[in-house]
Amino acid sequence: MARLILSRIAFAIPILFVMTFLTFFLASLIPGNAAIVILGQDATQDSIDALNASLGFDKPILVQYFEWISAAVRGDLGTSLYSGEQVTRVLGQRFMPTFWLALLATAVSGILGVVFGVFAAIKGGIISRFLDGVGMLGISLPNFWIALLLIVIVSGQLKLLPAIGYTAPEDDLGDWLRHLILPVAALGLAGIALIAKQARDAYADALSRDFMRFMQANGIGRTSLILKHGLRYASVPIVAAISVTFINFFGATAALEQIFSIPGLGSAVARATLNHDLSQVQGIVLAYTVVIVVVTLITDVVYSILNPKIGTR
Amino acid sequence: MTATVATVRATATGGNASSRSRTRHRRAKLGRRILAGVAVAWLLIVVVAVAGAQWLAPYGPREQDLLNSLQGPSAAHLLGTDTLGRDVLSRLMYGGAPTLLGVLTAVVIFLVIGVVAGLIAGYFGGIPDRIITAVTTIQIALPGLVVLFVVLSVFRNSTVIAMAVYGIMASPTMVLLVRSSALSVRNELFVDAARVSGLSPLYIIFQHVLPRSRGIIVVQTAVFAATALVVESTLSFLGFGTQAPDPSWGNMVNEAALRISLNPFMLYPAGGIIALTALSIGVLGDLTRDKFVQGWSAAKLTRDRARSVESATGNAMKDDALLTVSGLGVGYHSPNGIMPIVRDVSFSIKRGETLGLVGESGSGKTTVAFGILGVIGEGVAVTDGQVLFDGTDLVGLNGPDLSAYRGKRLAYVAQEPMVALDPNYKVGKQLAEAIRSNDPQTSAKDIPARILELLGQVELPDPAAAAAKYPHELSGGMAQRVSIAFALAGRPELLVADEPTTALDVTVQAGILGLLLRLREQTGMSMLIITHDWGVVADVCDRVVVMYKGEIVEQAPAATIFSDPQHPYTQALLASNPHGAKPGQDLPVITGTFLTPSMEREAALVTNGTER
Repeated sequence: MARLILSRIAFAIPILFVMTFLTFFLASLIPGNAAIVILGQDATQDSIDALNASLGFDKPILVQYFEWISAAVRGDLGTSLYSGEQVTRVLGQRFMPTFWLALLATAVSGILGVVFGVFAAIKGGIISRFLDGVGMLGISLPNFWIALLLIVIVSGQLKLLPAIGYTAPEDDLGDWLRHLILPVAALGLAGIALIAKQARDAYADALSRDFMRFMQANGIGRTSLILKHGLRYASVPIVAAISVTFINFFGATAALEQIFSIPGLGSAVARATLNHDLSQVQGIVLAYTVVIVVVTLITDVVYSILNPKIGTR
Repeated sequence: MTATVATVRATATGGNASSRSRTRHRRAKLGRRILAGVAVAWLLIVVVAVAGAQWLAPYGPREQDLLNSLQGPSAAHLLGTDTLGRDVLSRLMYGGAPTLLGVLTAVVIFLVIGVVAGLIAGYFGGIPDRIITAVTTIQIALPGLVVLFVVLSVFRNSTVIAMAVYGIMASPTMVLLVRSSALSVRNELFVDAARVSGLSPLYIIFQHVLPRSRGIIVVQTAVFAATALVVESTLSFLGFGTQAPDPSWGNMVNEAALRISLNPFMLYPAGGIIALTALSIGVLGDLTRDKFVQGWSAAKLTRDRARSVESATGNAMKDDALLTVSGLGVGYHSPNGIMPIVRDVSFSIKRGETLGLVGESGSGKTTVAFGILGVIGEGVAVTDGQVLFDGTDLVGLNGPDLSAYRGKRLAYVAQEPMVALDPNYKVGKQLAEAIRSNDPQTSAKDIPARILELLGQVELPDPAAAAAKYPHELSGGMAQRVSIAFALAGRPELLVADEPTTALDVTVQAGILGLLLRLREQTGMSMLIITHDWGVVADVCDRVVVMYKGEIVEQAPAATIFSDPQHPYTQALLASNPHGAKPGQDLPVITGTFLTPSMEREAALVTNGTER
């Protein structure tokens, strides 16, 4: 287990380097932009040069990168070029709303997906075709459009739920849930069918194993075979699908956060991008990459628990 | 599509079920064709309308009519107007260009990188393969959408560049698919032959490898195109790419969102066109997949009957036979009706008797065993006959009623011990479950002792150690002993053993066979041993049933069958016994075909007909 975690972390390091360096490299393609953002379009070349020098933008890209990395290791991601705020502070404020949104959407689509998938594998036929159709809808309907339709119908016409806004769960749990229902629904729809299809295929594979027949012939009941042995056998691909879904959701909240006014990472990175706020973008990209690395690590640990062939190594 | 029809009893109902499934099959096919037509038509309309917007659009993209702003659909404005009174339909036609261009860019890059890198990795292997696989591993680990934000933070107004990067980021899916597809074709004989005959790699790739991978490439590209369309719209919805007042599909949804309370109507056409177009691409891909991809493997977990059926002759035939199989027929469902696998199989086993079921592979021996145990699997059904166990017809029983028999009174040992056990549970846990469900007399606290007793009974040297192991930690011989212990948990009266030694090393075979013999002595249970090994028959069987092409051709006491085989097939099967072969000579083989009873009956009917 320790070896597995170490090898995962060893793999994560190049990923972090690639992502952060990519950001730097792209930023360096257009020098002076940050200064123009701060000083405005009418700034003189002298003042731009002066600001670039004070921000360190006149140094070679590798030097800048090294300085950023060594500061980042100490927990300093610089300040926003646009608002002057500490990037780490912004991350701290905006991480949890996005995390909750992605986590709840994953939980909902995970539960519904596994139930539908298992059902489709056992019953087959029409349910299975239906899942294919819903899966198609899931990838074809943009989540921001579903969100807007939900607002029009659920908030506008039925007046059931608040259209926009966000409350932290520690402040008011009920309000937090009410505000997250629509965003979670809009985000989660795409995941249900994806997980359901994966679960269905994994389950169909489990049911086609010889041990199913052996055990049934020797008197083990269908309920145990389906719910215990089948679910356990199919668990690794299902966990993989849930993990991928979470990672996808976590990176796909930008438009939803904007629509529902959720103060999360997605809307922050979209705004920072529009503002050319590179230090902010860099910090958020780092946060996203760390989340992916951590989720992948957790997934691998879960695999090793679920699959005895990995676990005993 | 997998045909899933519940177990049917009589041939007549079987015929109906299959004609019903045929109709359903035809109707589904027609439905798919209509769906494909609608999708193609929609895509054509969109492409023509967008490409020809300049000539076809009723209004200009920025043409304002402030008096008629935020209107619903009307004759003058088919899809209504926006905040500035601009015609929504016209703006959608103009706004499609940046969107479709972005999607096209992404798809071309996705396809080119995917196919080229995938083919190189899969066809050539070696170092190129390792480099490409390593790069894709890193690519997959990168946060795709976030990379787009990084790109857009530099190239703010170019969603086309962002979409190109998206194509690169998504390419691993295609690379890995094409790679594995090329890999599988590469090792086929005809590609080897082409290589040996000096054809250039490029020629082989285009002539042989690519056509084989075509299906998967088309499907994956369609799914990617649909996703790319949604991603592009998301980016332009967020304010990247085409800037107002110029329209794009995404920024029109954004505009609609800003006026959502005043006029929600605009939301429907602006988002709907994105959804419908993505859906059409996706549906076309999905329909193509149906053409290329085979259905998944059939389930081996058999559905139980909903209700038990009382058998008319059920209790009449109570004699000294423990098991009487009479007129058993098994068939599988195909689009052309029920195809028989096993026909008119009848035999019986007395208490304490060991019966050998002999025949070549594919003769239906195993199907008979599955039919007796009620585990024939999905898509296969018992079409005829009875399986009377101690006077009760098992074929008609539902799940709960059957559970009084399976595992408790009759049990099963499989051919492949390594896959007969659930790989995810330790031996002890699996045996505990078998004991709990089949041996209710053993109380919960006695289960550990009973596990060790069972493992000792199958002569494993260290029962405690074996119980603590996972199936993959066992050798083949040990695994077979464990699965025999599993079968013995309910103290069965009949053990059905399907080629219990075939998959094992020769040195282990004798040990397992000896164990079965000793167990029979200890417990007095009857055995049905399925085998193609005459040595096994000679060692353990009292009587023999010989099967050929799904029918019984001969049954006789074991001694008689060796001394006086009646049916030509039995004689040929005996002659082909490798145990009798002399070193240095070719092994005897069975040649030619033989008549089965049903063929003889048909032949007789034909002869009678001509005589008359």
